[in-house]
Amino acid sequence: MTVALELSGIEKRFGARRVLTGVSLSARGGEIVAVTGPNGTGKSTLLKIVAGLLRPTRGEIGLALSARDFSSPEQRRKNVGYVAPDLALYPELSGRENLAFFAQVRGESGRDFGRALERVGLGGREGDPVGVYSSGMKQRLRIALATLFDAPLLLLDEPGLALDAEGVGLLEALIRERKEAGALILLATNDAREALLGDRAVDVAA
Amino acid sequence: MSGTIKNLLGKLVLFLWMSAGLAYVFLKLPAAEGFQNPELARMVTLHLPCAYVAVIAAFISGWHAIVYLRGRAILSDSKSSSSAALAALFCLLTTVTGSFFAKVQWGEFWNWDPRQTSVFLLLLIYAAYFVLRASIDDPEKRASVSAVYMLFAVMMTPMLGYFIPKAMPQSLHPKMASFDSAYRLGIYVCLLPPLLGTMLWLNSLSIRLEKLRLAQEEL
Amino acid sequence: MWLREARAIFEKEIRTEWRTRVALSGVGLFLLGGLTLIGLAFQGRRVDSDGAAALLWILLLFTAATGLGRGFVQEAERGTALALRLHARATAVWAGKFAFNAALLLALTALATPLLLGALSVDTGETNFGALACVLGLGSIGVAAVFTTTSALVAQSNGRSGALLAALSFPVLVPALFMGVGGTKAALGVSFTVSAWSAASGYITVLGSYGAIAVAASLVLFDYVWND
Repeated sequence: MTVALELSGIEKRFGARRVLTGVSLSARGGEIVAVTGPNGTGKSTLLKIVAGLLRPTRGEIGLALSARDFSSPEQRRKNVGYVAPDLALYPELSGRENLAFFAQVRGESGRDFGRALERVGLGGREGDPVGVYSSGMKQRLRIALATLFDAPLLLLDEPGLALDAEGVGLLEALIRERKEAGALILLATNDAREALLGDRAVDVAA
Repeated sequence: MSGTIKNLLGKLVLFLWMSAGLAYVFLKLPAAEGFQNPELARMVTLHLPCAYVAVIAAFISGWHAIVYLRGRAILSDSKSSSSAALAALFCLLTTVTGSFFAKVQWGEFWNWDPRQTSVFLLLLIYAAYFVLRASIDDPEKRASVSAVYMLFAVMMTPMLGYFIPKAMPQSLHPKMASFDSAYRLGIYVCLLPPLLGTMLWLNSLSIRLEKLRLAQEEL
Repeated sequence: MWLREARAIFEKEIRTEWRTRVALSGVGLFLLGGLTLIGLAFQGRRVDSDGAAALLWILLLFTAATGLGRGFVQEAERGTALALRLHARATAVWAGKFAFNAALLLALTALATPLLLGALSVDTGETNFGALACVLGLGSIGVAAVFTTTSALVAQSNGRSGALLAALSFPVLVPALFMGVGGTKAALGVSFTVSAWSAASGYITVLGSYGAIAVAASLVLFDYVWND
């Protein structure tokens, strides 16, 4: 599947507060684009807008998959893998049950949850309720959910948050693997090492 | 310049019409025989137009709520909320004038009459609407959430018109047919147009204010 | 497809609730507390069907306002709403939550009604229990639909308070209250000239259509709340 993302003049205002002032970007599958900028300049907001979770004040978002148009917010939501610090999973359910629930909602219950959890190093703890996970383990679970459905567009907002060295290694391996598979990856980060993963960078504050 | 003159002229017409209307109603209109206090029964000529204006404002507000959800222009939300405020104001005027009328004619300020109850519920809904608005900071979220509440209430409450008379069959309100032509003149010609004009004028003032505020934010 | 989605969400609601039972025990205790207060206030004095029907519906509405507001508020507070918005359709989310709320309120109504009628020593000699079950069942479903939607609105507000939930819901619930009280009274058997069933059937129809309108209006409007 080929992916093409086209952002033109994305602006977001919360009341009188201006967060994004005209971000444009054109990228295609197999690319990793690092989204950079100081705190509070709208990196997370931009990813939420691309994910279809937030409406831009101005600007257009175009997403094409295999040369077909998937630009509406509904279509974008279904086709992104999204990791963000404010996205949470159900604390009463185990890691495995969380993945199984979202898979059931999407009608993709045939996915290999065991392997997905193994890939992020949660193999031994998949039956524990997420409420007792450490923050690093929760982050690993978010990554497992975001990569579970082979989404063509991967939006990672501070994906290295709370991860130990092993976790960062697993994350980078997963990002490379998705890139090889032809996915487009937007990586919002303040970590200089993580930003190096990007083939190029777009600065939202510029 | 011609805009200013037209504006002034409009206000003058509104003022004169309102004065003439009130003068007719209080000085010329015959007392309504058949009521306990025929002199004060003239109150209906104020009461009824207020109710009509409240309903018209409510429709304008609901209409702009739909327009907002379809087009997402924040100005539509301002129009919806300013009409809602005016609908609430005229509901209140309807309730107050109605209460005085009720006290004079039926002995009590409040009778749990079906129409009194409906208007009162409408007031409660508007109160809840404004509390809801006050509790959301992001203007776009505020706009869509309050538009949805407005439309949800609009869809759920017209049933009141059907339910309430069924649950409370004994209405004290007279039937329309019982007004004679002098009263109809008082209501529909003398007072309804200037009250409606006042509502629309207030509405346009608050929209102009909102436009200025939005333009300032733009800078 | 859509049904499977809604069912998955319904089952998730049941499972997460059953693991902690916080909402269930809270609202259950609220209901029992309310019943105790009403019982103590009357102390075994016989209450006629007018009074009993009114007390029953007031108790049910307050119980619903206490217990049915949690679903969306919790999703918003914890941040699980983001994940749910990505993967599920808005109307399926609403339907799943509504099914859970309706099941909860039906269970609470089934528990409260016999206890309240017993506590108030209501004469049930002429009562048509089938009609009573229809009135209370359809009424509960309509009430649950309204609270499901208003709680989604409250979840978007700053305080996400229960007081706001009640303020938004009660005026909209007045038709249900009127018809519910009337229908309950009729089903309890007040009239000597007509049977309880034929007296209650008009109310049952109206309560059914009230619920249907609440569901339809919610399905149309919910997407605007959920995805904004």
